[in-house]
Amino acid sequence: MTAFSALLPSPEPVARIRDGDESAFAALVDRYRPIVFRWAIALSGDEDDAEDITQEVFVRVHRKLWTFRGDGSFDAWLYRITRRVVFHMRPATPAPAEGVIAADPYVTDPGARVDRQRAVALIQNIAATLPMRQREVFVLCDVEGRTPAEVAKMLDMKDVSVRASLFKARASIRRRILATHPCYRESQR
Amino acid sequence: MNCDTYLQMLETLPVDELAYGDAAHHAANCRDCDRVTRVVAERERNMLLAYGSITPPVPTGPLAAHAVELSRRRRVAFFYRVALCAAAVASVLMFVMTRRVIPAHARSNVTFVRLQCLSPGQAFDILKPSLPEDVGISSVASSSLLRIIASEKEAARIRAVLRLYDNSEMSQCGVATGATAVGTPVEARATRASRPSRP
Repeated sequence: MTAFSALLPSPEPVARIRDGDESAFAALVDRYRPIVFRWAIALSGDEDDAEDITQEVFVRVHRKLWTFRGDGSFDAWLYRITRRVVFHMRPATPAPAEGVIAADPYVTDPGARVDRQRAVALIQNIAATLPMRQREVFVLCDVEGRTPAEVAKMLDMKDVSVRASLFKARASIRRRILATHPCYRESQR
Repeated sequence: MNCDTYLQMLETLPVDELAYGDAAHHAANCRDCDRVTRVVAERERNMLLAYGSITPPVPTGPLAAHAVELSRRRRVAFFYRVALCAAAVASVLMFVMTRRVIPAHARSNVTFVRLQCLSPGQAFDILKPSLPEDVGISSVASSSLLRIIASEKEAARIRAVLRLYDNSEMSQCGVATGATAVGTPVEARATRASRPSRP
């Protein structure tokens, strides 16, 4: 899987932003905007909510940047803010949107061209399929390519719990595919 | 390795980890397992592509500017909130301070005592040594009435003292009857103002 964490930028010039440099803040927003938006979609399962969540996250980042001590990774700090905003704005697990589940988002696309609608539907499907904790672990580990140890720090969980949640999440997601194997159903009985 | 074992592994492990050892050997020899593995790998690759292709619809500039603006407004709102809270606390404290509950025994009442033999000045001279500071005594003009502003307990004590002296045996009865009040009234400090009727 592609290591999404490897695509993350180097640590931000936080001090400049703290000093009121708006261009530095705009640069930070530019770098982290897609990541935060994806997290927001994965956690909330709703594209419109994800826009609001992204906006709110950057408002809080601007306000709370002075609390970032720099001893941990910036994206872990950002993820915690995103998570808090999501839980604040959408405390309950979202109900699956009608039609989203019906359409199988895993359908192979030969040209590897995945349009936006399908991509959002796919993430919504994950959101609707998995409980929140498994969803978080699955997105951070399997989709973004972080190690369970990194995710454990981000989510303030034990490494073992992260792995357990990851196994459950993978099983939930792969079950439908594996069901096409002639031996699978028998092995499940 | 049989299909069941392979599927159990495929259910929870990353597909990459099945590309080695017994699992890879089994997949190479089992068409169904190989097919399922390929489908899982392909769909996961599509999922990654899909996830990576999601971009937020709002451009960076407006998003950052709006965030900065909102952040500043909230900071100002925070200071206002703190100031309002401080004002509210101060108001409550003032309210509490001004409405201190005075115990019933300490509340002052106004009582009148009609002197039979003593003049108000004589009565005041008798009471003066034992009068607490928060007791007010004054005379009512052109009468033998003594106005006492004191708690019930203190008023009772004063009446008892006056009973001792305000009789024909202890004083010259009739001397002060009908005389205008004399003597310096005592002002109570903690009671409502009791104005002396005569200096």
